[in-house]
Amino acid sequence: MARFLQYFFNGLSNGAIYSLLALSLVIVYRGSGHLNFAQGEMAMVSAFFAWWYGRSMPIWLAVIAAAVTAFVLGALIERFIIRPIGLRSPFAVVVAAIGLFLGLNALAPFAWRVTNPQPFKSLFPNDAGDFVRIGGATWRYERIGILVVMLVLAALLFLLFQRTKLGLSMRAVASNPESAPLVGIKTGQVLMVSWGLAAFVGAVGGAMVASVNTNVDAAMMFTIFFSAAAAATLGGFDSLGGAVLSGLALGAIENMAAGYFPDLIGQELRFSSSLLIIMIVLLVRPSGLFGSQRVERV
Amino acid sequence: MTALLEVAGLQAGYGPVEVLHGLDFTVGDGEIVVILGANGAGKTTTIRAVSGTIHRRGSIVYDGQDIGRLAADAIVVAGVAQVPQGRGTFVDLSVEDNLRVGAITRKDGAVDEDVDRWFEIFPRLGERRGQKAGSLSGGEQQMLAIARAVMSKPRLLLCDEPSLGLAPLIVEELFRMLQRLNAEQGMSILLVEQNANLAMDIANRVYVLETGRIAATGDAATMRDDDSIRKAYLGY
Amino acid sequence: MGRLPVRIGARTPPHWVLRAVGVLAVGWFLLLPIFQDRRPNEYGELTDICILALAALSLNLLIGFTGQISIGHSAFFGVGAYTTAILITDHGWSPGWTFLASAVVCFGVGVLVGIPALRLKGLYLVLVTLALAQIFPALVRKFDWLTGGSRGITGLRYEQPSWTGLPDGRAGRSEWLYWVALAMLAIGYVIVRNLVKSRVGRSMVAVRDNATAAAVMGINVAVTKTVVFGISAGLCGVAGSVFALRQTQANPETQMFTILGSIVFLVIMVIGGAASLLGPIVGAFAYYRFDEFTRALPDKSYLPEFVQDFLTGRPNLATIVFASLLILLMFVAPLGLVGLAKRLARKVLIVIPRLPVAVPVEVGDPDLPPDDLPADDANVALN
Repeated sequence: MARFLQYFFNGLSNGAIYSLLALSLVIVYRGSGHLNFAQGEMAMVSAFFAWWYGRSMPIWLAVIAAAVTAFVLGALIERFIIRPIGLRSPFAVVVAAIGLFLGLNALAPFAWRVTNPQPFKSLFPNDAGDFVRIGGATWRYERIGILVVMLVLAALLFLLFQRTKLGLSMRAVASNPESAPLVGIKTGQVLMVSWGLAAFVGAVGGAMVASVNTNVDAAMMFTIFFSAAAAATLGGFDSLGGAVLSGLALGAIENMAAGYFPDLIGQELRFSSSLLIIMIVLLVRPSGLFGSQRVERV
Repeated sequence: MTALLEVAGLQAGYGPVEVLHGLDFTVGDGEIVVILGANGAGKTTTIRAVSGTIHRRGSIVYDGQDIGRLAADAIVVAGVAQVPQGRGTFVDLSVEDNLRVGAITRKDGAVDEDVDRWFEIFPRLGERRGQKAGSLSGGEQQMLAIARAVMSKPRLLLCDEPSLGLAPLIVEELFRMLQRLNAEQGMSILLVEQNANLAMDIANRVYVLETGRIAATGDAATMRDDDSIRKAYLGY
Repeated sequence: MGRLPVRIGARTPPHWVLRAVGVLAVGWFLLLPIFQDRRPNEYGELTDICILALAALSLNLLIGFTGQISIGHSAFFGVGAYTTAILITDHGWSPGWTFLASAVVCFGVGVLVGIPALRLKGLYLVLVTLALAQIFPALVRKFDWLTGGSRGITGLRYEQPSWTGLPDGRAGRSEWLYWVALAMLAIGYVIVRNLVKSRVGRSMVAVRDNATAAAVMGINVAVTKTVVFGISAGLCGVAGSVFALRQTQANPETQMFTILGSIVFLVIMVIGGAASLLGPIVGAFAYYRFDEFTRALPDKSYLPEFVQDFLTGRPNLATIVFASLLILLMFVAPLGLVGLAKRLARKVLIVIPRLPVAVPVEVGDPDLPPDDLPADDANVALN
């Protein structure tokens, strides 16, 4: 039982990170209809910013500053890369996103002149004794903290979308981008905010990863991006709640699969369980577990 | 009567295809003006040109202000609202959110009152206030579209073929609503329609659009009596 | 000064002449080695280009038919490579036959993946193929009894047959492999071109996004998509086989077997032009030369002093330049180099298609954009 709980708790924490990235992907997809292939790398670069800022300020302040930086960068990327290219063809946007993926991945070592992982201060109390015991399993404060941060951020996002004018604009643009200008919404600004917000959330995710790994490294978000994309897929790509739940679920399942079947799955194939799950779910429900099923008229 | 909207030499099209070849028309303050035309005459293009949703050339003066260069969202703020063809409903948003989004440019605090008032006027919408707007019938969505447009408190309402795809009884109800808005709130309305009968009933003045040009214009009463108009558009 | 653009009718003598010139131009590049002796590494370069072109061509087929992108073809590439490697070393097959085996195996895997995956929105196919690409190297390491695990399989060679009259040893082998690679590319090109131009092909392009219309036309979209996915996988697998012989080994550490490989194939297709069958070939040339160029970039002595200082200690310049150019390309030429060339060429020359009925062709307003005039070679439309 203790073993199960251990895998479960750690899995939830991993899942919280997947949820954060999945939220980013869903925000972008709902906002502008694109899958941001570079979301993970944007988060990685943001983590590098946090590391860099963290040399001259407390780490939490650095993370917030990095998230704000990410917001700005995300908005700029939407305005000057994604939107103009998107006008030419949606396919070109995918390619541009891949270009961003490659470029951002290469940029971190280039910009900061680093080829090795750089130490990252932990965001939560992380000494040997910083954990709680539940049912024989240890749950470290850090991991609990990540889960809490994700839930708080998700709740804030929910409030933003459901209770604010900005959120209403974003939902309107997502639902019908042609009608949005007709009610006076500045669609361009809303799109920029969508990408900026997604980058912000992704940056928080990146910081969490860096905290857990205790370092920043250019390759850190790679496999996480995949599991996050799987979570977003599972959640249907248009539901924030779905992204959160799917992220947590996949994190837990992955960890348990890797833990209970170390030979068959183990660490290298841990995300294969995610793949299997999304394949099965998509076969049964092509719009994902929580996605809305749009009736398509011919 | 002062002209709220003065359009001169309006040209617009889609890419290399020119649809409007220089239109001149006006909408007076408090008037209901109808533009009639067959399919392909350019009715929707006209509405889109005025609301700023497509590129256009020519002079468009609204309330003394040249809106020919403004973007669509700025034109809404100026006081012109469009009820698009096909309703343009935000299908994933609730009925109530559709109304609220109509008021998104407003800075006053009376939005809630207006929302409630619309639910009184259209009880059917009120019953479905929490439902996704996509689940409404065509007629209900059209009511919603008009209500949404009016939520921004426009002085000029642009209606693009509101009768399209709707049963005659519903269309009558809609047109009564438009008349009511005009009579009670002094709202000026520019209405483009294929359904000439009902439109001419509520109109003050009528323009006839044929392949991108104004072919005829006059009072609604005079136009009704005109034989050629009657034959072409009213079918008798 | 003549009036540009010049117009010629399709299938008229001037058109044939033009096409002949075009074919000769392309052929000159590829067949020149017959008439010149080259050093082994030059053959190696050309072989690499053919391999990349074939892999990119397989993606071209996929996007043409299904409008969907795969970033998992590195897995098929790898399966093909390993099929060849295993059959040669463990079962003594002659390399030529392993190409066929690769094609068949990869076709099978492709169909297996395609059956569930192609029912999904394009978005989801990307993710599923991403998973495939991720999993492949890990699977190779896991099944080490078959694949030799992390050590890989080495010592792969394709000996030049005596009938070719090629010199013995490495030099002859390199040349021989080039001709083999070229042959595979040519076969692939013929297959793809025929598929795209077939009745099914044209119909698929027209209806791929609209299942109802397709059903009405009597095309089983799902089956067609799956089969095409399989063929695409098979072609990529053959490219992988040639790659294994070129590398003389199959190893899970190879970048080409990871998602980066898939990205390279996709990028090559895009650079060359996703809407044209010549695109992958042009793209492969361009990518290869560019890769060479950027690798040596930081050491270029012609760069000013301050730039060189800035660049010391900073890795990845090549990738950054590459990524930036890729994004720039999407601004300037979303249809790739071939698309750009066609656009520019249309200012000079327009080929007017022959109508099925003898009707006087009205040459329209020259100021109208010519996008509505279909080009003569396989113009695979994107959505």
